[in-house]
Amino acid sequence: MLDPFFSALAAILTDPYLLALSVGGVVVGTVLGALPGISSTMALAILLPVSFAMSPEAAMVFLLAVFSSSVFGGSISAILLNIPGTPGAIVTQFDGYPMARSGRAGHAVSIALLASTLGGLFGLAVLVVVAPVIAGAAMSFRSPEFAMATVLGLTMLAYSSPGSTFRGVLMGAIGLLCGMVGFDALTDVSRFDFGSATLQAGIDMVPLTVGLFGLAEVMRNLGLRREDVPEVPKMGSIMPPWRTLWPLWKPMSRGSLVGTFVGAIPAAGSAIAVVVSYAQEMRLSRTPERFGKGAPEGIAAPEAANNACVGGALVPMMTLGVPGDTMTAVLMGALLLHGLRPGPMLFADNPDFVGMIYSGLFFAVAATLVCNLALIRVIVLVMRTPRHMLMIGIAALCVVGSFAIRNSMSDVYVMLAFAVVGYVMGLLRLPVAPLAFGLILGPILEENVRRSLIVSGGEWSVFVERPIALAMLLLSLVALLYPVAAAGIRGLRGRKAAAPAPAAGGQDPR
Amino acid sequence: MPPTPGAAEPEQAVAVALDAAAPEEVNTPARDVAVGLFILAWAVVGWISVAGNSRLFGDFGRDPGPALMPVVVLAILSAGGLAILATAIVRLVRGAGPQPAERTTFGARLRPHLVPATLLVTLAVYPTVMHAIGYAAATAVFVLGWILALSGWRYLPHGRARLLAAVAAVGATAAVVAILYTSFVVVIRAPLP
Amino acid sequence: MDHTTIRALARLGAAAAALAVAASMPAAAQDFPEEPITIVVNFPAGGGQDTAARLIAEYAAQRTTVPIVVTNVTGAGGATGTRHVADAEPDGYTVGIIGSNFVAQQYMNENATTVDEIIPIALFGPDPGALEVRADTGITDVAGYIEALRANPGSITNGNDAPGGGSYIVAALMERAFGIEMTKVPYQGYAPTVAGLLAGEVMSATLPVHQFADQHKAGEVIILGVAADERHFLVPDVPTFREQGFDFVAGDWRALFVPAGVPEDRVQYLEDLFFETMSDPAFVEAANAAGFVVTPMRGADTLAHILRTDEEFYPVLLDAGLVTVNQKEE
Repeated sequence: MLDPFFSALAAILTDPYLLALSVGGVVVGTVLGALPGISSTMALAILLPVSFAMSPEAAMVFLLAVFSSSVFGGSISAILLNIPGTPGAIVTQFDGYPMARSGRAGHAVSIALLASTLGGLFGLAVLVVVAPVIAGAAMSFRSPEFAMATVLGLTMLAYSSPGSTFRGVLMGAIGLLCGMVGFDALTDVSRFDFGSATLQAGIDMVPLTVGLFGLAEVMRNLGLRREDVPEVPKMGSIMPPWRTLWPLWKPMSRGSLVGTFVGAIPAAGSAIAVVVSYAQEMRLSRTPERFGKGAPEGIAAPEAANNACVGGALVPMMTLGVPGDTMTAVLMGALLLHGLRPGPMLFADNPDFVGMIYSGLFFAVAATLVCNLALIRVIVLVMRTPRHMLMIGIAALCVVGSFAIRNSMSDVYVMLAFAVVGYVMGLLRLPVAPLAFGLILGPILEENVRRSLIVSGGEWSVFVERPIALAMLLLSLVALLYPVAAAGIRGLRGRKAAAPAPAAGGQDPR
Repeated sequence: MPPTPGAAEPEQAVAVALDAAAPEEVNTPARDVAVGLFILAWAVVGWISVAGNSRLFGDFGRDPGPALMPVVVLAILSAGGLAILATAIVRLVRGAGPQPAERTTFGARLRPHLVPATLLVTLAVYPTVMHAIGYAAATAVFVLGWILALSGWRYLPHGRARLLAAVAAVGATAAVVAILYTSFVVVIRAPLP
Repeated sequence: MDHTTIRALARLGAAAAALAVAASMPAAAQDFPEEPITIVVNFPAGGGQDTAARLIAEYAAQRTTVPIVVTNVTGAGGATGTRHVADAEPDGYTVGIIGSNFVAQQYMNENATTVDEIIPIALFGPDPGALEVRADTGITDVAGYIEALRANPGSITNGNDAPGGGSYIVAALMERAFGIEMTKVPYQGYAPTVAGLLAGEVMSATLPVHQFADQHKAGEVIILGVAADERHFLVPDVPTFREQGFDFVAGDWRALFVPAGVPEDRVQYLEDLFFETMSDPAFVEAANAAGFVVTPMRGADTLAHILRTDEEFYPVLLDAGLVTVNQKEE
């Protein structure tokens, strides 16, 4: 697979048209990804018609550039504004935003960019070298495994999100409830619709995240009295010092691994990958209390995972013709429109084209790095625009963005409703991220639990009989029970040592 | 935002102000009552809908049916909400939790939410206005109005300062409308009114 | 020269230009279309419905003076997008695309659009149903499949849509036609069903042919039969059900429609536009490459086709207990 890869790479590098397409795709993709309300899927879908007129090769180079850069773009607004541009960036803002508010916006974006690049390259390398192996492994996933993978993702999130795990779980449950609105996936029975066609259409992820994170954040900002607005310290350097950067290779590699493999499981997508890798870093860290307050690892790991998913998600599409998520579904649609069907036969019939896809992705990752390195200085200027102008601009954007996702006004009202929910939850100090993830993962969870039971004939033992499912179930239980156990141990230790330091925030991070 | 306990160390002050971390001490009994009620409100609305939907409980063969998950999740929510509410009430009665330092009037408590609520109301009518006068015009009015209101333009002295603020606001409005219009109408071709 | 004269001159120029354009177009549609035509797809971008609509838009735009835009209005299993079109201004600028699940939804969802709220303008073509099994089941033809199920009802798990979806109805029709009973396992859409069959969670599937053409060639999956009048061009080696002695034709189709109330001349214009587009050999070639069968029909025939599907589906839906609204009187 390497020969066609290199010859295609040479073809891109020597063809100014393809080069320009890739760079153009990266710029458009980054901007669209950064705009709250435009997810990667939507960025691809809206640029699909643009790619019509191009040759299949050019179209793929362009769309892959958009795809891969929009994933990174989503993190820019997460870090700078506390509003995830794409749902995959929700976890990035846990630490990215506090870091940016403490005057290290440049550092945060740089770390995210480097992690994205590394993750993207790792995912690609896996795709090129061992795609068939991974595809085989991913295909041994059946409904019980999907169900348990979602359970794992949800508990990891409850565990890692700020505040108590118990409340995280309850917020996740509210998210699950919201995910059940509309038609049931397996029986087409409508639920929680209160007779309204708007609710029957279901609550879309984008208006929910835009309202919950975006508009709620704007409302919170406007509610602050001028003297209460935390002063943003003067912006320092763009590149973090080497001693901060170097130790991050470990979280980045771990994130890349998680992202590639979880991304390869059809339908599981990046949502699980980012929370699992974030929770993993927190677990491995010797100073987990720094997480949520601007820990560089908290940006590096999920960001690497999020971008490694791009390569991972392409694995089932390229090898089996099964799109792993909505983004690859659009890519596959683009290929179909050009009369090419991805799948086992594409490798045999058209290895040059496969090489072109791989090298297009490689070039997209590289171009994302180069373009954004050059632009970080400009990007972080967002932090310096007058706050009220920025906030009103974002409010207008939230409205248009949630309209455009399905071209329906009712999504705007859904967005507004969840802005209120997000605002109230902020006042109550409840974590919002589990709610968003509950909505994303809930339908996958329910569908797969019930399908497992249909296939097993109602035997619940199906979840413990299959080793991978059992392992994930046990991991989730550990994550849920860990805080309880840890509190018990801490209590014991505290009594023994009679330590003066309070339980939370005791150790100094530096 | 009310002053929070535990914001003593400067390092933490930023984090707390951002809502990024909510240490256990922030969960005052009064707030926990609200949290419990918030969660129970979702549960109650959910139960009402489930109870009114007879099709949920049909016969679906080997499928456990569309009622399983709602019932499980609502049970978790109800139990969790009740638990938080009960503990909070016990703490309130015992007076164990840290009390808010000063008692404030209802009006004073509401005031910080006035501007956010107004924003919400204007945003709610924004789509309707959009239908009436078109997307670009509605956005321009909305953005310009808010920027002027927030910049405290009315309180500025007549003359240069006022003019400058107005020019800045118009400039910003033009920028916002231009950006939104290019990305959504020209690039995405969203069928905006 | 004062303003009135300028305006008059401008109007004259515009009129002349319009006249020139009109001369080159069908007489009935002098003032239509003037704005872009939107095709509303009721499923997300990237799916079969979306791909078909974008192909149509691409080729139809070459035959008219205005751009043709595709937008996706999704939700409620496709009912939201169809409702969006049915409620749109009946000016002919909003065109929708539907599949056979439109027929089923009329009886399952009180908010779904009914057939008298729309005017069908053209049929794109069928998406013939087919029966696929995993190679490791050892079943090699339709007769073997039916035998296995007759000997042991419910012993084969079949991957299909949720009730009302295209591949569910194919499975249900098959059960009815052959007096068999399979264990129908619902999936959300085609791609997860394919994954389910490949992962071995289900033993068979009732998806359209193009989903499995590659796997069939690779030998992992065997397509037992095509539920159409003719063999499918992607897998010419697979016989139809009829060739194997079973009279069974079923499957999905795709059609374009406008909301009821669009003026007759505009309906005629759109019908001509889309019918001619779909009859264009270049279009057929592109659509075939994407895996679609193209058999264009005009509006009246499309309506008849929809009504025929209705007659076929209704008893199946009634049997499965899915008819909750618009129940027919017996």
